[in-house]
Amino acid sequence: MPKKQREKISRLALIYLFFFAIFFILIARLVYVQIICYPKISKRVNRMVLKEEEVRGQRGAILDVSGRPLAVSERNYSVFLDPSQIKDFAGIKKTLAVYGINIKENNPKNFKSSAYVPIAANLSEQAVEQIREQKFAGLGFESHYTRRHPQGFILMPTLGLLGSAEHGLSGIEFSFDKYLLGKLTKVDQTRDGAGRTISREIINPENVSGKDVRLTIDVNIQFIVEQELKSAFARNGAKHAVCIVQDPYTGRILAMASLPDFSPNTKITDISMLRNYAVSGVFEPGSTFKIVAIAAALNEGIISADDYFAVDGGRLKIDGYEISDDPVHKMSKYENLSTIMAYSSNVGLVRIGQKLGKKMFYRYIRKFGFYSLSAIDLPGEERGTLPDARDWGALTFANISFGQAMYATAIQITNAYSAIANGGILMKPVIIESIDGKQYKRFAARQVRRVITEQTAREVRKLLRGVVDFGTGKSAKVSGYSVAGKTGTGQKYDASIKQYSKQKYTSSFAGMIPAENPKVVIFVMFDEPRGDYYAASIAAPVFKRIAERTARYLNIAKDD
Amino acid sequence: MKFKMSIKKLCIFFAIAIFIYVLEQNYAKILDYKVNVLDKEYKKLADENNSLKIKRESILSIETMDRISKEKNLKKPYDASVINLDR
Repeated sequence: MPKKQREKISRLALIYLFFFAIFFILIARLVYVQIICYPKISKRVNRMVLKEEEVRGQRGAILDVSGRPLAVSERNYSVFLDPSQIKDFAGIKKTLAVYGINIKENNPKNFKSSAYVPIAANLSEQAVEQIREQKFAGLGFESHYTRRHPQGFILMPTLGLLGSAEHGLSGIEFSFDKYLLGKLTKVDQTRDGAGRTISREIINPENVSGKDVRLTIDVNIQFIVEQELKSAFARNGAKHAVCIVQDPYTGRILAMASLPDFSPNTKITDISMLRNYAVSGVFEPGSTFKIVAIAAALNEGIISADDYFAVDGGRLKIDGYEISDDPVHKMSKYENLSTIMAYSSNVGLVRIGQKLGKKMFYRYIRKFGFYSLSAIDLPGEERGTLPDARDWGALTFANISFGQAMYATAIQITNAYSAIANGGILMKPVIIESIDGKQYKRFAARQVRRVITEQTAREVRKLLRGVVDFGTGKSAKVSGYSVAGKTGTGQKYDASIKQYSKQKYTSSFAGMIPAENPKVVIFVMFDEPRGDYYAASIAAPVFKRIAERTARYLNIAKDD
Repeated sequence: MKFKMSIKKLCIFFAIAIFIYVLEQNYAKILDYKVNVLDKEYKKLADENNSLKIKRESILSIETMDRISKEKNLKKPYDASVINLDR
């Protein structure tokens, strides 16, 4: 081969070799990056690009019996600043001021070294969209759910409050938290270099939302009850007030009010402020308890409606202590059962209790549901207190006959009157109608036991009607309706002086409307009203107004 | 010669296949963006719908009705004037 040609070939070969070497290095580098370093690089990229987010589904709503929302969650946003990223602080201040958010600081450096400075909460979606359009650096938004009460702050002690971690703290929010709470789901998403979401797992909100809890409460009746109770509560300056409205045949609670109540804006300084006195407040029931001894004695055939009892002018001494009736009613030496009930004779009840005997009386007290949990689906229910019959001295026995020396709750008294109203059956009080439209057996209406016969219940209702027609409960009479009920004015035991107080009383009225075939049972109680404390002046008129408005709302036919 | 022609056809085929694959991957990413934008829009509308329902319930609440009736000095009708419709 000529020399020139050999030189040409060797130059070409060098060039080819050079390009081949570059190509080889690039391929080697590619193999190194794509295959050998793949696990390390992939991990780093995934850390930047892949994100796993925990998302909590929307909390279920609490509804009234007709489906009107009493408590419902709404998405809101809180606004925060990252001072290190802010470029236009004046612009941010001016824009946020339009939405009522005023920042006092004039310089982002005043926020010290924090990268997260919360400045406002509960901003609406619309407001956030409008602020986002300004594209301010260093301004961020966090979404969260806020609990709203569209019907106003009604039924709050029963509904309860939510804590900051979206778990219920009291009431239905607490006891049904596991149904109401939305599911916590992990959502995978991929982001690009600019932080925009490329792809995100699509979750159907219905699959992760909490369940709706429907109550038996009717918001219209609840409103009537709260309006009348609050008005009287403000007038008489009582310490507490309670009202329960119940359907006696099913045990369904149509309304339940407990005062003083609260709102989500109330500063809760003591957990006792969240108590629902309708189920957790205990008090000596007083004369409203008299139906127990009378119903028991009638049911056992020990007494009859026509019997007379020695009331000795309304005075009786037991173990050196005097038991007396209200002198206003001028009891004679002997009175019949109707008069004893109508004028609330304590002496008459002691006589009836003595005929019944301790053992039998105790049995009926427990049969009527006292000193037992009613199993209502609300937290914090109390049993009350009742000494064992074996420990009753003569005085304790006498006191218990007319509702003292023992403690009961408002729900127990309401249930007992419902048993009288429905013909003698103690019903479990029901407050849950359904959960997500499904009725659960454990929350459904249930007969607990038969306490008395239908005949006995009818006789007791007749006696209770006498209380309203001509006895101490005249101020509970509702025009056009027959009403049966009982007043209760009970002295409170004062532990500081170790005797019953002459200043502290509970004032209550328990009744049903109409007297025959009652549609609703209503119990009203005021604890320590100031000034006048007689049930006839305090509790009975409130019962009358609630019964009148409720009867009209429920279209209960007039019968009187 | 025949062998060279087959290699050429194979190369063209692979080139087209790789081109279609890359195009499809890019388009899938574009669709991903669009789906997520629509999902965000859907969630925004669902939240707005929820907020409006709450606002409506608030306006129609019995407390509001009672307040308006007192402001307008409305009176309770006589019993005979009330007709109940069976729904």
